Amino acid sequence: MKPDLAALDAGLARYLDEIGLAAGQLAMAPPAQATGAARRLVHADHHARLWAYEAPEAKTAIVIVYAFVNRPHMLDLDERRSLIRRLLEQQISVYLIEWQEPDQTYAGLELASCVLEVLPALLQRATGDFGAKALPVLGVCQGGSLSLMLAARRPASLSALVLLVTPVDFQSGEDDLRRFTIGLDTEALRTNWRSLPPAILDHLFLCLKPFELRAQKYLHAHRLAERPQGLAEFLRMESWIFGGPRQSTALVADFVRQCYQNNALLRGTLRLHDRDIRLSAITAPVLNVYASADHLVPPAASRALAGKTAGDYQELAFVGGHIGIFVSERAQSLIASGIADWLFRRENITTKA
Amino acid sequence: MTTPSFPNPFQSLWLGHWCGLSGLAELPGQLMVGEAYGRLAGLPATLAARLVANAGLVRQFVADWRPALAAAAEAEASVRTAILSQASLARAQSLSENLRLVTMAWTEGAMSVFWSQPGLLGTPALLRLHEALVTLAGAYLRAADASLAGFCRDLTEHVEHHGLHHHEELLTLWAQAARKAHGEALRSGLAEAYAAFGNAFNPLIARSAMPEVTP
Repeated sequence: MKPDLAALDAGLARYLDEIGLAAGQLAMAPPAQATGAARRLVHADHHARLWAYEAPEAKTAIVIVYAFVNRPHMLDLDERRSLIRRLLEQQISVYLIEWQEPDQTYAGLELASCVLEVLPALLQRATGDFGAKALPVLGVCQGGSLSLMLAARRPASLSALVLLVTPVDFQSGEDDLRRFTIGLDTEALRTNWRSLPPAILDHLFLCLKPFELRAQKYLHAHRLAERPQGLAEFLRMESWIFGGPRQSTALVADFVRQCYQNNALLRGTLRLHDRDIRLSAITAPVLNVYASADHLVPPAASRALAGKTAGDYQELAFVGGHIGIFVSERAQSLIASGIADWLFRRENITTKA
Repeated sequence: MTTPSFPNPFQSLWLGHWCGLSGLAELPGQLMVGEAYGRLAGLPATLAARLVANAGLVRQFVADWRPALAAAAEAEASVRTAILSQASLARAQSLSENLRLVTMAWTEGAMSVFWSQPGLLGTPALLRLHEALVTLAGAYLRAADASLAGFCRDLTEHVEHHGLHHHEELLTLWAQAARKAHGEALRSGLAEAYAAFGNAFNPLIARSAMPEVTP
């Protein structure tokens, strides 16, 4: 066959017109806001906020431990893309831990105080609010690593542990973040920088897939001109990507040194405030959900947990990437229902107080 | 076009560079986008600039390949011969060129994080970071060059089996080549470049006065 040049030229002209229109509409669009589900503030202090999303006829509740590296509204961007709403539909109430970012008066958390003091207190508040003695915990990415540390230190404080795209082996072969961080002077970082600006991490993430994230991603943006809803969704997602929080350099330095540089969580050499953190001390059943095309937490980095904990362990593979596991259409029908099926197959998931 | 005003001169330099690369001035919708630049402080305007810059790359890419496609459409010889002819291969350099533009735009963007920090411009710490970024871009470029043959092969096969009716078909093949470029880069020096980039932050971290991150 031969190329159809007339069609090619006409299509390109149309494309350029539409891009101009889409860009103009985008430039005039109001700031994006997540259209989140109804929620109640259970607790707030300078470290974190604890939110409750209540399912009408909840069979249980789950406590989400989110990461520090970005904002948790990605879990509830809008009606169509919301892990939280999908969990509520499964009759699972949700408690969400939203970390506060450092400012002029608050330096932020260190890893040890986060895991040993703040997380247990927040978990206790959530279980108390739900009227339970223990609840399942759902750790997201870095929040999953923190949840593992918590579960290792206080095994009885949670009834089950669900991990989503969680790094356990920080030195797996395809882990590009490790390459960035392996030579980082963490002591200087902790001493000299009060907090880490989000733009630095933004560019690090872009640099892991520059062609896809800088160019390819925007190739079909001309279609936004025809769909106001699509434009709003696009803006909401991009606002989340480029609207991350500042981070405490104390916590970043601890996390990089212990996890990325020393791989201490997997090796069993992690110590926080002179206390050992061993994965083998985790007795809660674990559901480890990983994404097969995750470039930030490669499957091998998550799956290294197999055989390391003392309780029941299962894996759930999602065909997609690190963000797709939360916001893609396929994820909406698979992830929450997979978690619910796993939870409801177990006894004593919600231990009443 | 409305004269843009920018929050700081470094941002102006960065965007001006980027838009110049993308051939913004000839694009449709320039008026609206020009106004968007004037309100650069917000993310929507920045995203609009990205869309337009990207469209500039697309337009240039298609234009670079059009002569080869015209030869394929008109030649009595096979599509394969037309695309793989010396002239087509010369044009194929546009793939490398486009990837270079994307890479440089990204590199400039990464540097812009630090440009506006007081007292950093021209310091050895910033120069070292810039060197590391250039090394990183070089790793991508080597991979992009290496993927050209694959792009020509994919394009030939696509045209032979399906023809070519829309620029999006070309872009899909381009995107595949870009993905391949990244894979190639990881095997040809990118891993080391990532590490060097990470290490290049240390001199910046050693400067106790930066970055200014309070709200």
